[in-house]
Amino acid sequence: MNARIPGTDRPTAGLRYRQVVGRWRLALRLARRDLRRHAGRAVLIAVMVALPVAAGSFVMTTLESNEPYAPADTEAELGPGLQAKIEGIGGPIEQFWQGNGSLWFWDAVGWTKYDSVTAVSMPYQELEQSIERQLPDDDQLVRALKGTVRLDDGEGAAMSVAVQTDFAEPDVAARFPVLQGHLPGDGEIAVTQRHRDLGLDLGDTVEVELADGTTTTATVSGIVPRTIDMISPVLLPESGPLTPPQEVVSRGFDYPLWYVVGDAPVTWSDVQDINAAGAFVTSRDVLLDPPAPVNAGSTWSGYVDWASLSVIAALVLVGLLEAVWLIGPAFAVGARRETRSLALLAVNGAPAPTLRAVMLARGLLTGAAGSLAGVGLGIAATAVLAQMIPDRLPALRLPVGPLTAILLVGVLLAVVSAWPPARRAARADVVTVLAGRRPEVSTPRWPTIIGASAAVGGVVLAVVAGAQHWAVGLSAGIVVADLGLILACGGIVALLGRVAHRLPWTWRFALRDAARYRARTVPAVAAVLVAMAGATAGLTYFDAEKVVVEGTPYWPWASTGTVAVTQGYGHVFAEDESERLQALVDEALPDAGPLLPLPVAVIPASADNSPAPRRELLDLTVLPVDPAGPDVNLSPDFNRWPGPVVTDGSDRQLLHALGIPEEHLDDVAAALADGRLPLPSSHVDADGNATVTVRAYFDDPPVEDRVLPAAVVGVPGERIRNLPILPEALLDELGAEPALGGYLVENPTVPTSEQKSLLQTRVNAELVGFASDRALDVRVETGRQPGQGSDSLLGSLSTPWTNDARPIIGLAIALAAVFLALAGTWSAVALSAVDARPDLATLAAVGAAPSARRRVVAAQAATISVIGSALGLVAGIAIGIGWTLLSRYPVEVPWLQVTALAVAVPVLATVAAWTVTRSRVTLTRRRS
Amino acid sequence: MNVPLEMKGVTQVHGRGANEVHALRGIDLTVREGELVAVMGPSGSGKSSLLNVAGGLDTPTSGSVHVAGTDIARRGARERAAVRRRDVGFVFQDLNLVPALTALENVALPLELDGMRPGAARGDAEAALAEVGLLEAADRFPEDLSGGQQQRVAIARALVGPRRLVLADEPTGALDSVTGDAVIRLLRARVDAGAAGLLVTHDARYAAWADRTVHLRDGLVEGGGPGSDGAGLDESGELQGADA
Ligand SMILES: Nc1ncnc2c1ncn2[C@@H]1O[C@H](COP(=O)(O)OP(=O)(O)OP(=O)(O)O)[C@@H](O)[C@H]1O
Ligand SMILES: [Mg+2]
Repeated sequence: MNARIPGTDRPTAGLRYRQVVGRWRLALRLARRDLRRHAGRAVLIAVMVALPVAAGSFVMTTLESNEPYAPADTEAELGPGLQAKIEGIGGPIEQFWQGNGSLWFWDAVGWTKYDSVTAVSMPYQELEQSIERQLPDDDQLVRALKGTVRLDDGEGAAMSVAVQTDFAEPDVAARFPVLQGHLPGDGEIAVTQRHRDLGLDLGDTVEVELADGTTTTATVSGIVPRTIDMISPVLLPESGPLTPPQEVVSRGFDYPLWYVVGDAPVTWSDVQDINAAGAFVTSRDVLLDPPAPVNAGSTWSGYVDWASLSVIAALVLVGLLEAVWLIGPAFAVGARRETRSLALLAVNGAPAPTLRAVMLARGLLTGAAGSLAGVGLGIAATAVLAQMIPDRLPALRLPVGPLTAILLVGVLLAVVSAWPPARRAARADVVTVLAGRRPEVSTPRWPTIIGASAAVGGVVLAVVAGAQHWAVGLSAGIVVADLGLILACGGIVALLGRVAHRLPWTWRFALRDAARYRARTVPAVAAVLVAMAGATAGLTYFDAEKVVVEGTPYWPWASTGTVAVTQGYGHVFAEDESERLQALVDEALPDAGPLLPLPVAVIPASADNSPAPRRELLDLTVLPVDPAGPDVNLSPDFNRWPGPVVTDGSDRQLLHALGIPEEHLDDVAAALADGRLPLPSSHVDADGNATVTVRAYFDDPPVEDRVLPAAVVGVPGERIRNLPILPEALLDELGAEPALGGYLVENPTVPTSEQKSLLQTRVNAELVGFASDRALDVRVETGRQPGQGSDSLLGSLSTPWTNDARPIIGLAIALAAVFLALAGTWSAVALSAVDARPDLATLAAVGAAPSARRRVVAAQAATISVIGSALGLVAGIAIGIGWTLLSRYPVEVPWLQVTALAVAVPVLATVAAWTVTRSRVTLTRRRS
Repeated sequence: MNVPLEMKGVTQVHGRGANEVHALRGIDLTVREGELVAVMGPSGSGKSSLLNVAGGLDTPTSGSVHVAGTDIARRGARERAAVRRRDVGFVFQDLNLVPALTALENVALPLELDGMRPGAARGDAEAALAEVGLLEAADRFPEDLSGGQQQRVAIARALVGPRRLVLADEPTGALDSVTGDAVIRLLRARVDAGAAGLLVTHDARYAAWADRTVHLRDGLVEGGGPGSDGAGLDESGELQGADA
């Protein structure tokens, strides 16, 4: 061939290139054929790659789809055809692109449009005209008006945002999909699903009341879907009843709207012109092709929590290693099976890189197939989730970058897993393989020594770092310990192989086999180890956390099921609204008890004419008798009502509703009637007095300590949330007066969220109405909910799903560990069964009982799972302790569960291996 | 033209210390073009070792091994691999073919490994398959071929493209005698067409097809000490094998 440099044997660059291409062409061809020939193993590997990839894709796709206002939301904002939506602000603004998919703006005066302190305004007509002037020539402005309306069908009322526009314009109509019926024409209204749930339906007549008091009637023509933000507007026809405002004012929520229809896109420069005119623009063109992002100042990078990040990084790393441990052995067996093929390639002149390429190509193909399947699976799972919670995931959006990265990681995972067997295969001695001899394994001792040292060092680091609250150290410790243990595994397995000669032959065989095929055994042991360590650490941590969380007492603010209606923070009711409220309560909570006005003590106000006066509030703090003792100060919770409850004790039902336990009702009532503060013994001194710090809540000091008469009620230290309750008799002495703080209603059961929401809707419609400076809160005392409260990790993990998730998560950890451990054990055992077939055939030939095969397989399963579990247990407990210390929880190892897990995994693995193995020995050709 | 194979003073020692085995103790052997040399000897006498060293699968402990003019005894694995791609082909007792490749692909393998374009490699491989009379089996996989057919494909591969030396280690060992005969006859024919062959066999009937036979015992060519090339060869091989 003339492709060699003349006079030398060195190939030219072109030949070298063709050799590399030829190498990979051949490698991929062989890999493809091999995967087809051994489809079972290929699928197994692909699945192992696919699972983590699917999990990653699912998380990324869900997060992306959950992200608000990204370009794909254009459809929801602008429908299929609108060019833009314009909101009148009333003064020049400067819009910018936040980079995370959302448009926001700086206001020319304050810094957001919600700044209600400084307001600017301009005439509506003027704004409309100047917007019109800035629009591209081919586009038209369609006027839309936004306002708050009160809908009343005679059976109940609800406040709603309304949009009134020209639905004859096709692009506008297309922006508002209708579930049922049609968009409103003259004298009609389209309402939302929420209204339908409240009892409105097609054909019903409703009274539409505007903020100025004018009312019209309209017939329900259509139902529109509930949208992401839950504040989807009801729709009114162009003909009314809303009218354009005189002035557009930059405060409040009801901005006038315009839609832009036409062919010309509203470009970023148009947007800036319209900004200058005094309006905010959501343009299709800009959303789909955004300008350079502006850092809006509040990016989350400021809040990067390195501690959690390092823990997460450690977990991801360990997870990836786990995957490699699990996948690796399957490739190793593939390599052994194919050693003859590889040797033949070598005989025909394939150099080591070609042999490696053949093995790596296998990883590449399975990895690619598995990753693609995994990404598909992840996306599909998100799609299913989106069907289930459309409110949270309005549109399926694919984060192309991250998905590609995950895909590549998946492929890389498979290639990395295939690398060690590939290297071994390329190094194998051709002559030895061809002669059918087993290549000898040399065991360097250093990995065991280094591994064991690293394991010990890592564990120590994890515990010490935990105790020092040093998260990064803990994570590093976890990773180092994990890697060290895995390095040491090989040595441990080899050691067991060496001591095996004293054991019965089944065990001898299993242990020697494990030692001989360390390429397969060690990853399996490692997989079991990591799974067990993870589970043990998790159980240890969560157990400690559980003890802490459950040790936190729960203080109800009322009897269970009680509903409170209060004014916003710090406000009292200006007038008695019992009558109107009672009617609403009767509708929403038919089984409820009577409405109980809740008197609170306030400091008389000088003059305050707002509809919901905020009086100066009375703050009482009752100090414990022993200031150094464990007892806390008692003071009113202003988040609930604006001051201490005040009563003469005659209304037992009120006291009960306030959460005073039945057995203390008499004592409390008697104390109050007697003019004494009802308190636990920890706060009442020997003379029957309590020391109380009295101050005006909004005022800075003067603060005064007063000694007030008190009476001991309840067990010492027991906390009733509403203490101190003030006896009426002490009002004068404190210079306070009673005010209406809210209303309580006792309900025999905890009201459902529908009941609560109905009551809130009715309260808003009937008692708040168009008053923009008034808010009424409806609250329900639910009693202690499992997993509720505290800032626990598990609590926050489970909150979005269900309050009962805590035990399920614990169980899931244990099950996942068992699954991984079993998967690791069984894959190794199954693979070893393939390798050991000729040996077992020989054993059978010399007269071993038919059950020998089963016994050997079970012994192998036991070997792997026992070593893995034992090492994992030790590492896991240490890591769990470190983690627990990190969170400043008292260390509490759940010995029962951990031991159960440590016993269950080997037993399950062994019994299952025993059960599924056939006793029959298949005779095979020794060399194939 | 260079001599296809020329070995001088070749020794090979396996293992070390107590496990030391002298597989070859000083072999001189030359195989010329158009020459088929049979190697016979008892089990463990070093026949396979000789072939492996001759083809560069293994290196001798001392001595020189010239394949087509290149001394491969002191070359690295990469260069010996190159020699195996271009100059030497092996045929073993059985399982010679890569199961995942078709007959044609198996034959084209050394050419493709050497960087030849797939089309050209295919053409050469088809020619080689035609020469062993198996062109119609080109696209079949090894498991669909009989043992004899597999060995013929292996011979085609051993002599595909520029390769001129075939090293056959008991190529008939796994075959019945009729099929074995056909394989040896084919080998003979290919050598007559200009190749060179070294054939290890236990069976004197097959050795009879060779131009001469070398007898090995304990790593030595029988009847000749170290350094005596060709001593003890059987010059009558050609006569015996003519039309047996
Ligand atoms: N890799 C090796 N390690 C140790 N000893 C070896 C090795 N390869 C061959 N031997 C030894 O070298 C000697 C020659 O072996 P070789 O395989 O060449 O014999 P052979 O003539 O081919 O035998 P057979 O007819 O059984 O195939 C034998 O004693 C064998 O045990
Ligand atoms: Mg031999």
